Amino acid sequence: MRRKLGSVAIYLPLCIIIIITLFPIYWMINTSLKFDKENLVFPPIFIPKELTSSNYFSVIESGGGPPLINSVVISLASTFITIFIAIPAAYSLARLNPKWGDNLALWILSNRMLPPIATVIPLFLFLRTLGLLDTHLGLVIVYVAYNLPFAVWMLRGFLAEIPRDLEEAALVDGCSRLAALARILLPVITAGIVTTIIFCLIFSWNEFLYATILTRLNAKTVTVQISKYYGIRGLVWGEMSALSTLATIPVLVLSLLVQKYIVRGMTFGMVKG
Amino acid sequence: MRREYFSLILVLPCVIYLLSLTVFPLIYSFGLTFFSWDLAQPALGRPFVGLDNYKKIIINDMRFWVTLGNTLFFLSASLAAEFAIGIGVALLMNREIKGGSIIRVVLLIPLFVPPIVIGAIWRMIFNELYGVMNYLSYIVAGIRLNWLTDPNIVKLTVVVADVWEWTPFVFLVSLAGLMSIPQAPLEAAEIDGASKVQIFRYITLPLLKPVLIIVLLIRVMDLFKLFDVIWLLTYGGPGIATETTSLYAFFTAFSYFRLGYASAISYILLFIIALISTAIIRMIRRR
Repeated sequence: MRRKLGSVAIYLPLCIIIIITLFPIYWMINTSLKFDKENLVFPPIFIPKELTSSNYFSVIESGGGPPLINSVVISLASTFITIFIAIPAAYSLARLNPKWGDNLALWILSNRMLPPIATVIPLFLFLRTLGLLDTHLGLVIVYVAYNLPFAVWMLRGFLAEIPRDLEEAALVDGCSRLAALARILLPVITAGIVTTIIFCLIFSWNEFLYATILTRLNAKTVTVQISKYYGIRGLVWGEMSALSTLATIPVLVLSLLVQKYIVRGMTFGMVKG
Repeated sequence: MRREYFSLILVLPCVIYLLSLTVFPLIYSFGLTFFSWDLAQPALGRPFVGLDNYKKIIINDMRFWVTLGNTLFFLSASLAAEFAIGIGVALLMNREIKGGSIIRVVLLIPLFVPPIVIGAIWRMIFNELYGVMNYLSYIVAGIRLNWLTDPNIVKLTVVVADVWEWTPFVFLVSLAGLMSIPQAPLEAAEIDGASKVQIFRYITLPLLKPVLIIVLLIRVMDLFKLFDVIWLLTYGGPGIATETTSLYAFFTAFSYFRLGYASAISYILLFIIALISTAIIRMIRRR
């Protein structure tokens, strides 16, 4: 009897938490599959009688396609460049003498801690001067700076875990340090690199503040497009939810691939879960 | 010695990149804080005004203080709720549970949903005419609340959305911390007759503290930047009831085009964040 009561005391609150966690997601999908005349009623319709995919078509027709493509292009390009710069930097910080390495690493991290609003005003002016406002390249350049500190910290953590002997053995065999990095170390931390890539993709995809200031039409990302759904056209919940669902699915799929290193990813590698 | 040089060369591209895209812009906007620059009135030019922007903000600008107060309110209310619920759920999950790994995956979903989407969803849920929240409060208590337009309630609305988004983070790290706590002291305490509350208070919590401080650091810095969710949920309104300092700086720069003044606001914000995060980092290092 007591054991039964004990398990109720565990499972009941857990069930409530799970429902609270999932309901908003359910509501987004539910709203995206109803006509707006069924969305804008009281009491709300929890289980729709008929489902429609019309919102998904109309959201693409009303200009939702290009922002989705922009988000894909900008996320991929910025992540690729970020990793390319971050790998040698992370290796160097993991191998440099700690007096230099730790301070440099802390400085690099502090770049990520800055409030974006402080850097976005000058970045807006710079991109304007260079004619890069509302271009893919402009946002890619900014996102690389946004993700670099994170990528360097993650990769440095993974590299620091490799025993030095492994590298020394390769050096004795006549490898150059760069060759040892490329042929011996990087294959060992493949999982770490993939994790870092996925987190960078997610961060770029979800980013809104820089995107809304630095892009307008040409290069606007999907988060900016979603933000336009308020104010301008009244309550178009079906479409807004459809676009939100389209923007959420890829991130949730990616997140499934990093479950093992999620603690690290969310704490910049400061906590090793 | 050659090895050191070699390592420095490898880190150089990263350092140069960050110097030119964060440090240089920051220096530039620090310069801006001493000028009055109105993009909407190019005829006025860019007169040097010394410390006037800072003076005006600190002495005369009520809106700045209100938004700073809002930011601090969101910070403290969200942190309290997120830590209480997050640690609580982690304690519940820190045992053999059927489907435990799947439950963990489900509970972490909010961390990955784009914040702008979170704002959109909660705005629908809190909608005063058609929203689910008013439906619930109507059948439970027979009342409908103005979740988005009552200046007293709307602050809580924002906190609810933030708590939904970030409690999983506290939960995640706490659970990882709990699972790495050695069992021996817990068992010893239990044999000695300590109650569950005592064990939590005097053994579990102190052992959990190092990771909790890191969570605190990350959350504090994020909450000072609170922007995306509010953007769609309330747009800072009604009036400025939910406007954060980040939003105020944004409006000043990109709606009123007063770049010097906006830079000064964001610099004060930066200064506050630096001060608080340095204090927290000291707490980490002292250990």
